[in-house]
Amino acid sequence: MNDIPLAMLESGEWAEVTDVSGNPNIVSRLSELGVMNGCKLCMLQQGQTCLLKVGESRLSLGCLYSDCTIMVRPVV
Amino acid sequence: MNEITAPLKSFRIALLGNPNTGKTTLFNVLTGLNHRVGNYPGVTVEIKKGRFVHQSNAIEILDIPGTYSLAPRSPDELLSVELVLGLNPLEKVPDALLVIADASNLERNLYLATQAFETGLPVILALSMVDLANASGVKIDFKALSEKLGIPVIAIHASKRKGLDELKNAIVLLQTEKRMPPVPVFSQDVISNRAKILGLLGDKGSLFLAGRLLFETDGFLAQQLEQKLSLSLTPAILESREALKSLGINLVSIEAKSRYAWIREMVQPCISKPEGRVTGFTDRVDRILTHKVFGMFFFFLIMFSMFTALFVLAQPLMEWIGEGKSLVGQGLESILPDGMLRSLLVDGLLEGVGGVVVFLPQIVILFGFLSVLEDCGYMARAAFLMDRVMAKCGLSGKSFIPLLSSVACAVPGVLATRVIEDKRDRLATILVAPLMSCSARLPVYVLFIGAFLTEGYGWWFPGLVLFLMYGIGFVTAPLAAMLFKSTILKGKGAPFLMELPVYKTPSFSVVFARIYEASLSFLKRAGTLIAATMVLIWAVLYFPYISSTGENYPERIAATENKAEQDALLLEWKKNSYLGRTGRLIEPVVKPLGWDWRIGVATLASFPAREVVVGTLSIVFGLGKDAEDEQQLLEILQKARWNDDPDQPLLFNVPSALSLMVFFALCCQCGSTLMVIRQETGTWFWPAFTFIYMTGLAYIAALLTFQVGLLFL
Repeated sequence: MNDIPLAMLESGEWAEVTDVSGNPNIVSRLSELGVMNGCKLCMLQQGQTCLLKVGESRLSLGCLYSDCTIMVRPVV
Repeated sequence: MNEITAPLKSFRIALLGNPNTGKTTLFNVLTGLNHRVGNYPGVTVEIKKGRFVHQSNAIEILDIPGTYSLAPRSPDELLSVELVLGLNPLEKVPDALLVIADASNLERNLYLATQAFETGLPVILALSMVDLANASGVKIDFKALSEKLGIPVIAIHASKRKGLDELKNAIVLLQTEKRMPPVPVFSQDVISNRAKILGLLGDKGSLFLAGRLLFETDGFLAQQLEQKLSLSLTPAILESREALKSLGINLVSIEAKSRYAWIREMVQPCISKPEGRVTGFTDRVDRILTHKVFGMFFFFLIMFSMFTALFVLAQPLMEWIGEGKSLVGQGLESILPDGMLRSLLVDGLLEGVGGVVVFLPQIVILFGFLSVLEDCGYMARAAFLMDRVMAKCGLSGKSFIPLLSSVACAVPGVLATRVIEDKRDRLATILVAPLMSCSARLPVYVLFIGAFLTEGYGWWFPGLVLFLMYGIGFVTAPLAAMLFKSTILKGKGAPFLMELPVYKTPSFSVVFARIYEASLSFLKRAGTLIAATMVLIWAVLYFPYISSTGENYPERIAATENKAEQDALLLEWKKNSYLGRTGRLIEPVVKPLGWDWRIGVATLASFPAREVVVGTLSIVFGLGKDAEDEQQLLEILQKARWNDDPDQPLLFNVPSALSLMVFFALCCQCGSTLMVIRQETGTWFWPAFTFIYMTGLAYIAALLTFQVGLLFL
């Protein structure tokens, strides 16, 4: 298992989302914006509030909230 | 309905789109109405309606707030869904839907379109930002996409008025030729369970609504619909959900997965994208502007430039307006005989209203700056940078945009809190938004900084002081929010989730429209509310003009040649006026703040609208002064002495000027804000609470400023 929490992804690193779990409302909102299993994303700015590139959009996300966990697998 | 009395029927269209797609611009261009355009999620918090006529067809457009999905999780989002589906009793069901999608982010934008496809209404797809898409190497074959989807697909550039005729033609054509959109594909199990729920909904049902109930995670919509349509839905929904779960289907993510898969299938043959990972202009700029250190540096640099510009650029313009005002005053004095009418027009209306209108250049610059920041996409970056700070206060970055909007005016600021999903977060933001220094405080700051904190300091100093005055709001508001969130509004906030739009050149028409709207409303206020207050202030300061011993002050002043005697009479007259008596009554309360009765009454008079204070000061300090003696309010204040007595020390020094500014920074002196808080919270409790805590805070802070200031300055 190479899966790590999203917050551990370094700025500039790409990853594939392997699991999104937690508060169903937030999980479904994220999925509407394209953050779901299998999607590729890039960490633009790492931090407590992180900036992600998902598809063509840039999403700013409170990374460290405990009611939603995003697991990712870094890809080159 | 009776055929004869039926109103002319127009074709009704609901306009849907993600935030930042240019939806509001399209709406404005189509309907010719002037509205504000924002560049962050949810600025269109009001439902707007407009109409236009094309080839003698009347078309009515309903502007639905920008959203990524028609999945209602809050009353605001529910309203959008109700309007689209015709479930709202106030609005008839639309005849068609117009979905606007950002071509540079097509797949994500089509998510909302796939939901529109299931409503059973004809759909037109308008693609905006095609130039941005092309610039990043994305090519879209519109004709192929239109054929694939079976609906009109039209590329538009609303602010350049491109593609609008084609769009209007397509709308008109829909009246006779209904081209229905395709239905996105779900797995067979989902389809059959959705059909079961659809059966329960009867004539109000649509594939979209049935699917919504099936996928919904929190039961909010089901509950609302059961109430509104008096149906029993929950047992059937739960049964279907259980059935799907037992098949191993994840109900939380199945909808998005299926929709995105379907979109990809539809779009892929019609679009070509550059290979590999592209780092575009926005990404390169964001590396700096969203950076923890450099980003913050630029944020403060931008804010500081804004406040310095307010001083440096506005100064010459203000002087012109001031000179114009003096000319009008001298003109009036030369044609009007000495007396009450002349005093009312020159000392009351012209001084009061003119004293406020002088600040128009500042309003123009402030709104210009804010709308450029908003329209170019920077505002969302500021919210991103501030999320960490806001999180420490128990709020999220989403609260930052309403707070920054409140720098212009707290009324739109309070309205902008509607984007905050969490109720407690939203209420906390509403309660602290009026602490942000709004444009109506600007005249007070500019006047007092100009009078007491400019001469003898460097060119950068006034801008810095102004920046610090605004800083009071930026510091106090989050602290107050922290206090509220840890006491009366305790609870965990919703996580911060926001899209950052692509950077673009701000549209001149959008920025101009916003400046124009703000200036017009500022002048309107000056001409109505402020003018009326000024007349009232003038009257309570003019009457009674006969003393208790029966002396007529204006006549006596006119009769004497001695300047000192004139001043003494004037002072006695002012003190005996109704305003003067009130002022002396409240003087013990304001004296510890370093104010005399005149400042006290000017402050008291400005509770309905704080910008009144400048005009009131002009009247209170300037009444009865000769035309030859004409000086700007600034100089009058610099030379003012305690109780207007030449033997007394100067009224203002740096501590008392600061105490006045601090009081105005924190006090709740705005009827409109209290009304909008009442409207948004639905109770008088919260506006009363806001008024009391802010006024108390302002008094204590001003007291400390003056008393501590005396020790040091």
